Amino acid sequence: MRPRVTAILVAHDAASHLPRTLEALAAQTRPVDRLIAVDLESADSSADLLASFPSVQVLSAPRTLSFGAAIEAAVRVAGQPESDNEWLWLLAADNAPDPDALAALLGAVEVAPSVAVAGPKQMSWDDPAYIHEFGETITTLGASVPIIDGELDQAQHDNLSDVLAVAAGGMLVRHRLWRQLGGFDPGLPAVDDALDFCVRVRLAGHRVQLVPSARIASAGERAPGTAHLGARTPRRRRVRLARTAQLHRRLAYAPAVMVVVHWLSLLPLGVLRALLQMIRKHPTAAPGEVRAALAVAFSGRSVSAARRRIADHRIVGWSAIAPLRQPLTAGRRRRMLAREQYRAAHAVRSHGIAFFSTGGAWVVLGGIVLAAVLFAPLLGTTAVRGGPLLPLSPTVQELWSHVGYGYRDTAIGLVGPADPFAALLAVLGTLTFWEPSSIVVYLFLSALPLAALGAWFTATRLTARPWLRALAALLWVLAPSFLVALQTGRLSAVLAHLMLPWLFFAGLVASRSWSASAATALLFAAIGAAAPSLIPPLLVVWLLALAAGGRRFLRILLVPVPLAALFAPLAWFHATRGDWLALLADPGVPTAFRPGNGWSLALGYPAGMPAHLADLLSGVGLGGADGAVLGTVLIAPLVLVALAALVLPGAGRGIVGLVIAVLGFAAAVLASRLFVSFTGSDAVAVWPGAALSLAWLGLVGAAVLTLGAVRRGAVAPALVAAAGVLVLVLPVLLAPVLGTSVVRASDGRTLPAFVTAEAVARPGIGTLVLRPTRDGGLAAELQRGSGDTLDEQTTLAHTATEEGAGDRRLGFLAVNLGSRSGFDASPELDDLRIGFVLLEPTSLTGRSDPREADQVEARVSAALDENPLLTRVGDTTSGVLWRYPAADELPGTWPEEPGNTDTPIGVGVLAVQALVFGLTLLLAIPTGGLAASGRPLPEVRRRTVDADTRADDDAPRGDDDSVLDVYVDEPTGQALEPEEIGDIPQVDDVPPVLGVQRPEVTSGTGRGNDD
Amino acid sequence: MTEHVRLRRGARIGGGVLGLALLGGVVAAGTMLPLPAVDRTPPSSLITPEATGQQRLCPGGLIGIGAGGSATATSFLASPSATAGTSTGEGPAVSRIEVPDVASEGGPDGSPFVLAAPGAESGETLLLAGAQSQVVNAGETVGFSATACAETGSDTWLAAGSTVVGRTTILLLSNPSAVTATVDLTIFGEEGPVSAPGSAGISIVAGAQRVIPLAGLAPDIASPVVRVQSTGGQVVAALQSSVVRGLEPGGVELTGATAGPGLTQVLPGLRVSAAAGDATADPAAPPAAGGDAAAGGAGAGAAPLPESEGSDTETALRVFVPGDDDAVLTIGVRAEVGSAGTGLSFPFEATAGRVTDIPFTEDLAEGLYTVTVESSVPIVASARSSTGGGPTGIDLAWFAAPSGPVSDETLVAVPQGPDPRVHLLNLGESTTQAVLTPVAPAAPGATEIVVDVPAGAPVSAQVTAGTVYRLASADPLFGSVTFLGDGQLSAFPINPGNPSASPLRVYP
Repeated sequence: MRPRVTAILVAHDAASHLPRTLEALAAQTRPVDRLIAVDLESADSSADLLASFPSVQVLSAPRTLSFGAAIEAAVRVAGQPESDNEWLWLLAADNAPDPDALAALLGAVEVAPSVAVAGPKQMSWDDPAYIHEFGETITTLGASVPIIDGELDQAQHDNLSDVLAVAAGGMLVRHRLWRQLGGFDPGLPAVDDALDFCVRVRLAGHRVQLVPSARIASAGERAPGTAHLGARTPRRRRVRLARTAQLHRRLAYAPAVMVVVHWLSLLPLGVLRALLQMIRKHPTAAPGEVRAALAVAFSGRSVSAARRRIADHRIVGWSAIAPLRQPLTAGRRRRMLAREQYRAAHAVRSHGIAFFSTGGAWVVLGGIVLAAVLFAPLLGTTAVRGGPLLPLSPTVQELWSHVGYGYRDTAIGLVGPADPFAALLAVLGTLTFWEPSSIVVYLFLSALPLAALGAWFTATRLTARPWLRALAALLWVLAPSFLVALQTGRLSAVLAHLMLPWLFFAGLVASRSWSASAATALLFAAIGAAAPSLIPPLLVVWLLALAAGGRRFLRILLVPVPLAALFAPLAWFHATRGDWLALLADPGVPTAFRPGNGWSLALGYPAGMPAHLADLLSGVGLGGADGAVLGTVLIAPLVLVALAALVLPGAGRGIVGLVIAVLGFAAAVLASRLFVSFTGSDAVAVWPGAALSLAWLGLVGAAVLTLGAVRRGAVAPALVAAAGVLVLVLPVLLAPVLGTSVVRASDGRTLPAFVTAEAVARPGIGTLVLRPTRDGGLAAELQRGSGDTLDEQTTLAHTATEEGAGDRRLGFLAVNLGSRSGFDASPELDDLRIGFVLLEPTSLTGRSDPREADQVEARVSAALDENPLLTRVGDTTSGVLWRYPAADELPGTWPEEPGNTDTPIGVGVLAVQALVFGLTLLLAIPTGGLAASGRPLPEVRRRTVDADTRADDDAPRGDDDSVLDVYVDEPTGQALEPEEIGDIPQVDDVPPVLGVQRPEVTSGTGRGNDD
Repeated sequence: MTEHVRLRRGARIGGGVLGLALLGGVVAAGTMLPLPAVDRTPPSSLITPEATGQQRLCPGGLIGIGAGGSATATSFLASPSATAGTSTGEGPAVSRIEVPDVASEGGPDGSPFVLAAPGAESGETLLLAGAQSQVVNAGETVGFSATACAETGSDTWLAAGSTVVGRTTILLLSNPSAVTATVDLTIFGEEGPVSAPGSAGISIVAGAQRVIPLAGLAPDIASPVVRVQSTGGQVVAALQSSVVRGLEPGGVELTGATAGPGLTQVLPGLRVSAAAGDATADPAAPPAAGGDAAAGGAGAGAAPLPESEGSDTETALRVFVPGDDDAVLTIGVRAEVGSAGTGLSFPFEATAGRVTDIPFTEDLAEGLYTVTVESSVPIVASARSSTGGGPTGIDLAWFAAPSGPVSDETLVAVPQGPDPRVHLLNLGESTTQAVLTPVAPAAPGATEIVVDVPAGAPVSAQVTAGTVYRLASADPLFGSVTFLGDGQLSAFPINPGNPSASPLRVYP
């Protein structure tokens, strides 16, 4: 009996592929007996194309149908099969068959009645000489893998015959069996539908066969497909669909007793795999892992329906198909080959940094020597003081207890979010966990070499010339804002200056790899935490980078996410106060300073012109001249060199540097006019130094690029510029040696020794610190234990424009203690557990009249002396101390509650921040080996490598193209599953090896690598 | 090709110039433009301490050393009369403290008295003021002295007196509190700090006054300035200074504290009397007031004996620079509205660590003046003036600086004495009105006085002796009370009342 073939063609927005397919159908040597076309509400001319084909029955179906459902609709139209020799030929719109394809398929099934499904060889749509896919199987643990894919067809696989499964496109299936088995599983709408069907066919006792002589086209990922999976489906969705399908099959195939175990493992495995995807630098695939697990776990009845469908028709055991699975050795070999290819494509690339051979080590060594000379007075100390410096908490646990959301040690305490700076300090303090405070000393000691190191590395992104890299490092170390920050103890500005070069080092290649992007994000968050005034200009830089980012914009778009996670609680708190500007306040202790005018900011000095310039002028007989003029002359060479980038051919990228310089300067000017923090009666401006560091970075970058663009004669202007800057900053540079620096070695105490000794046994004991202010007022604060620490400082208190209830209570107590008063202070002292009162001398700045402060000091001192509750301890280095002897009866603790994990908000804040930073850190850690082990399959890998490592015009690049040191780490498509290893030997002993590969990846020369 | 190159070069230069203009524009804008600033006021609150009892100590009678015939015995020369009141009209409680150094048998009882009153009455802050005055005519110590009753303090500056030959300066330290006070004295002179053994750790038992001749600690100092610092109990310090020229008495004054170091010091109510300052100028002066400077002390009877130029009858300013930097002073002498004299202003450089007496030149005519001293570094200041003309001879007065301006309401006690005047200076921007209302005790004839105080120009008003006035003004005023009669001159500053219990601004 002549077989009867009903071809079913499913088309969805497939006008680009249909003409060729329809033509090929018409050209069949063995024509189909009936053609049913299913149009899934195509938006293009697909329906017309189908209708114009002679003798076709066009069905219109909703566009939401999957491929399997569309076939099912057509099968219903086709009617009941009358014999076993009626066949369905399933075709997608891109499955253009060769003229003899149907004939070959029928020829194969006719000689083997046990064959119920026959599959053709799928050839590449664009290049019919290549096999797109030939047969499918599963690993021992159930992951689906193609048996052959992406190879030049040299008939090397034509001996393949019995397989586990064939692809849906071009599948010839017995009509009666199709109806009997119920067609494709509705639970697998896009991926593995044919695989699952073939498995069921095998379990029903039939055979599935490949027919190498039948060839059919497949457009692969660019196929129109259906609404579930088509050309426009993004890669991350494909990964998710594949994972969903695999999990669905896992539950469907598992023995009944194992279903629950598998179900319970879905979500934990999903989360673990999501983390693994982060480590492999596929962050876009990570959410899909969890979504797939959730989708399968809560898919309702589709799993049970699938299990019933299998159970109803299974007549042979699962062991029958075991030999058809991919053998373990084959899987191992494939992965190894993929890894080797990946390494060939990436690991051989030169770093181009050449730290030792181009003088980086010498630059750092120079910095170390300079630091050793300058900071000799700090060597061997464990703490420093001066300016806004305070020690850190004594233990790592305390450091970390001050991050997040919880009790803040202000006045008598309030509950709110910590400054992001506290988190940065916690990280830093953990580095020197044996004595957290000593990290500050180490930072000051190593600031110069660290700055040189950062600048040198960033310069490697701009130039290959060793002396220019050294120049960049020198200029970065000599930045006036940096040296002033070191001299005045502005730790946060120093940290910002040290991290800024690294931000640009990573940021310049952020669009090329997730690893660099995540590192940029972490550095951005850390810099923002140290110097919030840098956030606005850096966000502008980010926007510009985004605009220029091109198609990899997602890697740039996500850069501010950790920063946002870090600042969100604080922003929310300030928003409830209606005070957004307070977000920009410097963290740490507000320290009054007189911001420099615009001119001194333009010279890089944040807090006024240095005095030595005027001295220098009068030294050469020009007394009375303005020091600013000399400063301008000194900095002019550097500025002129940088400005030359505007006109010099080849220095165009220096313009970016100039834009950054202008942004930094503008931010500094605005910061210096933003008086948002308070200390006593003084309003304190935002420290403009951090923004000036950014401006300096842009200026130095532009200068380096300009000098790099000049072939000869660049050394002279560079030397002049460096010499000018050196004269401009020399006294500030030498300040630690000259003794003009406020940063001094200290014993780490901020309160008198009497108090710290008491605080050892009674850490909660309070010290009321009173300080007369210049205007004849009194600043009162309450410190606990051995005194304030830097990580406890909170801008919530320092920027508050209104007094809190605690402030008022403390103020009332302070005034009454400091006055001839009838107030009985003992209940209040008891209640607040105050054991000491310290009267600090007024810190007078500039020429101010001390009389009012002196009067207040005398009055408070007299009142405290007179107070019978208090006993004068005596003069200490910090001021005059009184003791409240009755406090000895009080408990020596103060309930600093709630801690950062004691409230739901606190836990939530910590959890979200830990999640964001954990994931970013996973992404940022370079994991070349792991990324390689998770290699995708060759077909997809080819394009990835091209896109990532070949000419990228939009990204800055060094003078030589060897400056590519980052791992290009985003592969595409499916990844092999490392945890699912294990196999059973296969019947067919032909190893599915990647015999002949496309050669572009490694050699780039012609094709036809003879195997 | 060349055309192409030229075009590209032109575009680059054009773009460069544009970029340069943009960059320059931004930097110029940041440098030159007056950009708006977010300048916030720190949160603070003005807190009034809970009221408690307040007290003032009047330093008591003038003391004569060796007055009883013996060289060492001391006795009171007079018992001062006091005028004191509170803002409610009720008189304060008055008690006395002991002066163990003085033999009080027989003579007048001049032991200091303490005025006490509650700090507030039915929620209202109670004001308390008192002052004492006395006339002595006991051999070498002759003259009139009026002194305000003062609050105790732990850090007091005294700038008066002299310990050269013929000048007696006695330090009176009173401790009205309930605990022993330990006092450290620091004495500065025209040659700098004076090393004075025994000046530290002076113990003053509770409720007692110590009498310490300054010459014992720092002999032969022409221009002493004394800093009194006490721990434990607080004290009231005063200096009694008297002058004898040859055998002729040259006046006596009991001076309280002057203001602590400050960049601006105001000495209101400097009364320059013709008899001493410019003896030839005033024929209407009493006959004994003759004494030309050139005449070299040829006065008869009780006539003043102005010695050569630079003698201590001259009107002079005393300035002490406590710090390490020399002070550049601008000394302004402003004549009072309606007064005869004309003001003057001159710069002066004062050496750090030393006391300098700056005599006013003779063109300071008779009249009423207010001296302001602006300095580059904090200084302490006082002034001295003398008058002749009385039957008892010359009297001198020390003008101390008020510790600060008074505003709102203050009580001013005017004790008995000749021609009492209240002097006021307004250093504000606009004219303000001061109202002096008599409260109890009020002498007969005391009426409300309304004075317009113009900005920068000192004024004075004649008041009635033996009256306590309530001084009300919207703006801060520096003030003093002075007396001038024949051979009687004295002054004391009007200090803010009850400073230790005044509202205090507190910052979190």
